Amino acid sequence: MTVNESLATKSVLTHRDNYWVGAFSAMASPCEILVDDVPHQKAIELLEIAQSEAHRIEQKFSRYRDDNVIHEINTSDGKEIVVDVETAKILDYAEECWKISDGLFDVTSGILRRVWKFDGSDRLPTLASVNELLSFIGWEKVKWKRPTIKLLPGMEIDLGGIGKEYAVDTTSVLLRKNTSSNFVVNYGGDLFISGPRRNGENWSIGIDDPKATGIGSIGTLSLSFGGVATSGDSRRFLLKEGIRYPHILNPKTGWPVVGAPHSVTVLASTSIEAGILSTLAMLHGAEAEKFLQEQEVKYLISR
Amino acid sequence: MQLIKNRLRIATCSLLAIAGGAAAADGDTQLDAAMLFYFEDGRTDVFEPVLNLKHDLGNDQSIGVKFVVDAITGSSPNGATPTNHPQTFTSTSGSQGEVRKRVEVFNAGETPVRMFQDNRISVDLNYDRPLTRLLKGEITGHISAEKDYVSRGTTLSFTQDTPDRLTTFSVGGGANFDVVEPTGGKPEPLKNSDSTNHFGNANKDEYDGMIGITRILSRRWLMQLNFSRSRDKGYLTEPYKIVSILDQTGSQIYYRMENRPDNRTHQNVLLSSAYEFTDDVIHFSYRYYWDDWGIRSNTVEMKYRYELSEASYLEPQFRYYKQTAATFFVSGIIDGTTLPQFASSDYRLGNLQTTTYALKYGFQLEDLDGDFNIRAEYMRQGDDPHPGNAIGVQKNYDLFPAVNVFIITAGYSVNF
Repeated sequence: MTVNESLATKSVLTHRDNYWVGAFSAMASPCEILVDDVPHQKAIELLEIAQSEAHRIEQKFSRYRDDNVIHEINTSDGKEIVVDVETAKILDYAEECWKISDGLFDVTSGILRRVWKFDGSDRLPTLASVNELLSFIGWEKVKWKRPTIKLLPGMEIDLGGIGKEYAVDTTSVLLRKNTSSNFVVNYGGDLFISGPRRNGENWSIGIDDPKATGIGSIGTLSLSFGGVATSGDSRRFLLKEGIRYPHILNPKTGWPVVGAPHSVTVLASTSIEAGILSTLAMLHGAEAEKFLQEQEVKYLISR
Repeated sequence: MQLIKNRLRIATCSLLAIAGGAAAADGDTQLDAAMLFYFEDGRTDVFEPVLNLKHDLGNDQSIGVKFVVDAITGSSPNGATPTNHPQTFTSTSGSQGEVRKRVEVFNAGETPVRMFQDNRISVDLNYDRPLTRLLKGEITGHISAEKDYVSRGTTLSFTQDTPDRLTTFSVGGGANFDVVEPTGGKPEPLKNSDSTNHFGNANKDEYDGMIGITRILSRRWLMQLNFSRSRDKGYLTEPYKIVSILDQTGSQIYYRMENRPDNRTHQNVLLSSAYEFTDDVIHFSYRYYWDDWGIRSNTVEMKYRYELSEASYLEPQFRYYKQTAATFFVSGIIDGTTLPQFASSDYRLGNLQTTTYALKYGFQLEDLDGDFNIRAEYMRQGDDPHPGNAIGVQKNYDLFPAVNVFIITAGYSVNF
């Protein structure tokens, strides 16, 4: 086992059954990479690459920081902000997701958290307070023409819905460039599997049960390739008059999607695609299964 | 209605193509091809095709090869200064036993030049690879050959990024081993050009060292500072250049072969900076050069890349260069005075000013991969036509006729 204290945060590398497990913490989540059968030095190098990429994305796109492009956009007060190429690509992507989901996926909806506190209580926000926020939500109000973005004063964008999945995919691209061995990148349950193990076997991936303590899992997936992401209400909800209001908010109404599953896990080509599809499935509420069947993707739903 | 899944797939491919700052979707071989045409009014034409291939070996290693061919025809000042009577030069040319004598006459006041024709071919190889996650190494090899000159060289350099990758330190060194093979052998230094003996070839070695720092100051601003020092040893004289020997009135009588010191130490400091606006990029650089021959030079350069659209740009460029003369630069030597140890009238060692204006247009074509560019450059080189060291009748003539150079470059680069 190697414990690396030289970086800003610790990482732990262990060898297990012919593969390496490198673990660290980023984006408020436990992160790990599994790498099949490489020399120790290579495993250290790959872990460093993954860790620095995860931190890079976190620093660049987290809305909790005041030194990044998201902060610059969110405090622009109606002024135009010019963004770098990578941010532009993500904004293009966010716009495309908004279009293809008919407005259900919207990176401007994050401000709803100001009135919605999913603490298990019965304190619903007032209709007026939600409606007031709705005038600051909606990608159609954003003036985005690469590389310039302009929000209405009071609007914010939040890439929380895709940031972690994006980090999984960009890390995977970097690891692929640096090793021919197959690997799994798992950032807080959003993951990418690059290919089967050298012995021909699939990787076994445990999927967390968002209803439980987080220790148990609702199942183990045996996968050889693809991206996986899970959306869930994270055991966070409001309960009033027998109605459970899950942590899934419809950006068009500002209200939780009643009837949404506890969690949706989707398998797609990349982690970010799996993430968008699982989020959209949640937003389809009671019709989550129907939506995923129409999309012809593999999924796992826990209700 | 197309499935959301499929539209998402297309959007994701485009998103992840730049993941990690690297063009994962591009091919791993890059080809740069260029064609350069150089016209110097009344003097030299150069035609130069360049082919540069770089192949990504994976794991951040790459290997590159560059071929350059120069076809040079024309003339360059032979060192003799204009005088008050016609000047006649006889040169031999031709090969394979057939020797042609050529007589050139230059009128009073004209700057004598020497005709030449040469082809040069050069090949450069380079290989770079990461040594640790933040340390990179690069090794290069170079060979070039022309009729009377062969050059071989190698460099080794390292770049070290800081963990935040905002600062890069670089250090490198190189050595070059050249052989000068003047037609007929090298002349005796400062001998009368009509009676000098010629014997053999000569060597010229160069050793270089470089240190640099590159710093990303903000998301848009990059600064670079480099220092390099080189030492040249061996035959640094131009074997065909002469110096006019004058009478007391400054009128030319005969010529002597030039002679330069057999070593030279030169240094360069380069400060450059790039700033990215919304789309456009401005580059600025300043270079100071000094050597122990007494030459000092300052260069300022500015470039502005103006994005016309997503697929085209315009880049105007301006450069100004000014140098002071080497201590042994003369416009002639008065007959009968003690010969200096070193003397040259090569205008490239004199006071010199060069102003360059260039405009580059880059574009992409819809049905063809790759980037195209075309660049036009106008360069004016000259200095005071009546320098202070002019002697007697020389003062009546333009000792430094301005030279106008036009360079057209057409380039194409593509990944495959």
